[in-house]
Amino acid sequence: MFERLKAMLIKEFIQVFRDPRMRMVLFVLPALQTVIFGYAVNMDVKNIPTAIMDRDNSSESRDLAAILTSSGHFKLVKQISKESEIRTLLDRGDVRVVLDIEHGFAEKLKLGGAIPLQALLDGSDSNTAGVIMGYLSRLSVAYNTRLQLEYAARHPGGGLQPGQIQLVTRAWFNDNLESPPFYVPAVITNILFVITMLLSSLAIVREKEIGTIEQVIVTPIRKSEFILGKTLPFVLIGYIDVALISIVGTLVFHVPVRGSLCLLFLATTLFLMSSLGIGLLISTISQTQ
Amino acid sequence: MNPRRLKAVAKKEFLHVLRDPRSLMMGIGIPMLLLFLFGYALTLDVERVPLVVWDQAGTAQSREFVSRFSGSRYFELRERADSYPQIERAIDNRRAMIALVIPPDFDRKLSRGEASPVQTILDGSDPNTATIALGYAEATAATFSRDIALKQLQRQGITPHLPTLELKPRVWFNTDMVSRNFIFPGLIAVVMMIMAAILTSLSMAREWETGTMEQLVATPLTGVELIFGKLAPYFAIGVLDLMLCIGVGEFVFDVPLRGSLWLLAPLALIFLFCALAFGMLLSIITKNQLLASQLAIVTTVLPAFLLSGFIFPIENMPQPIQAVTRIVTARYFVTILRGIYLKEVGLAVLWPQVLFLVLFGVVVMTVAVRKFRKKIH
Repeated sequence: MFERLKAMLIKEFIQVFRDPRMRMVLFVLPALQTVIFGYAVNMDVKNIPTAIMDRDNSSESRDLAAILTSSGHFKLVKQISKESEIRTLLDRGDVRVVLDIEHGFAEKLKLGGAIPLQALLDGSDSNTAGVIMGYLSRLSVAYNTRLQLEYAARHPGGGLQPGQIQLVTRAWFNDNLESPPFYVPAVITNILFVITMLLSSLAIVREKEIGTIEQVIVTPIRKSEFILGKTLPFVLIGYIDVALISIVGTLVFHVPVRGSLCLLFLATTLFLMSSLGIGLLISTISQTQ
Repeated sequence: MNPRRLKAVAKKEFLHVLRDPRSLMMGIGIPMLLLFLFGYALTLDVERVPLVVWDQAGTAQSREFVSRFSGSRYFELRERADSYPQIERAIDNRRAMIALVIPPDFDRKLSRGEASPVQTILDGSDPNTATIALGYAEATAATFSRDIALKQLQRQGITPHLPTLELKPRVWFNTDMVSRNFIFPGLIAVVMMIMAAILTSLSMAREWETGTMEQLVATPLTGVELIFGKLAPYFAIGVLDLMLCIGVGEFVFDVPLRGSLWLLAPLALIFLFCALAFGMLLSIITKNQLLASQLAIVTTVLPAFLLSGFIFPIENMPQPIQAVTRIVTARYFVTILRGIYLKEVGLAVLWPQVLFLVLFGVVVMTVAVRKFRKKIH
């Protein structure tokens, strides 16, 4: 039995690795994919293209605009003066948000009371819009706190004491709330799934389609040996890819495996078994690729 | 190009597809599956973030502070803890994503006008949700602090003329910021890309692998006729998929189609042609089904998912990757779809995207025709 299995394995390994393009698909692509994922899959919102329509054009309103752009989240793309420009900019997607500072901003600041600041957001990307809204409200809260302090300084007897609740924040598992730690584990699942399910199912079906399965049938090999021989190479490739992705993740994106490596590989084995099973089932049932 | 011969190839290919109900299933069933799966499962709305609170103060004020959180639609109070291990367990088991620890001297510090620290612990394993939740939490805390300060003043009989900036956000194109409206139009591009590229990438390679190419070589068919004839049934499946996608968006997911359907349809056909031409090119170059389908996944499906702006905004990517996205066809189609679906824009805004797709389709098809050799080695 082991001899037959060995023969089958040798044949499969030769078949898989014979084609240099196939070697690339199996080993270079997972690494490349991790890198692309790492740089592209990024929900962090920075440098939001912003336009400001400053109808007041006072030093106070310019100050507000400066606070916004110096926060690092917003990038001032354009100062506009006509209302019609807003529509064009948002339609073409040149900016994500337009801030409309209304006339009389500086005056209202002196008089006190509510000063409306209109923000027009492009909601077609609802996620980014949500994040932008969060930044804006945080900035306006900070601005209000400043106004409050200034007010208290101007009216010492006013008794306004800015008692503040400070949120002392700590993010567990991912201190700086970066994206890579979130997606590297997902890439592992993704790539394993593609490699094992897709490739293994193609492997058997191809034998059927090209007709070489007839040659396999006439050999004394048993069903279980055939299936085992077909799947083992992909299990091995799966392990290598998990190691590869973990290394790229650690070195390039500083996402170390914090838990136990043994557990990771044990879980990999279980996952491989299930996805290989699905792949084999598909390929034995269907006749075409 | 002889229309009679083209018709003959197209007929043969249609028969191939129709005869095998499973490949038809793949052409229509899988896109539908993806559409429903993503349409229902993929939502980025951050609402009802599970919250766990350890209120060490237990005073009226701290309870009001907590109620500001539990009363908002962004947080949902899941449990109250009275120790750190309990918080740890709640976050480890994903019962909570955010934890607030209110210190015993919460009231005292606030009434003295001192800074009162409230510890906030976030589950950072989903950084996107955590960032948005933190934004909400900070805004909630800041509003609460202000309200307290104002209340104290009012108790002293002072009505301060305090200037306050009132942010009035107005969201265009997607007023309620429903993530489905954002995702669905892009999803059409992804689904059509997957279908078109993978299926066609198999088509020509299969003829080579099964050896039937020899028979085709013996016929008077020209390369162009063979390529276009082969694409015909996939084009038909693509059109069917497109109609199904638009129908599902309209009737199942209630995604508003604000722009013109008569503009959307021809542009979608141009995109379909690009995707088919690219799949065909891969199939012609590799002559190997396994390799062609793998390459199709890597060069079309993955970019369509990751680099098209479908979910991940392109402007957040580093410059080199942004440069790469310029050659991703799906990127242009996602922009077109969102423009027509949500922004109700026309060719006046979308012409650069359309121009690129037309150029891409023509160039890739020309290369495919050039690369195709009707010869047996």
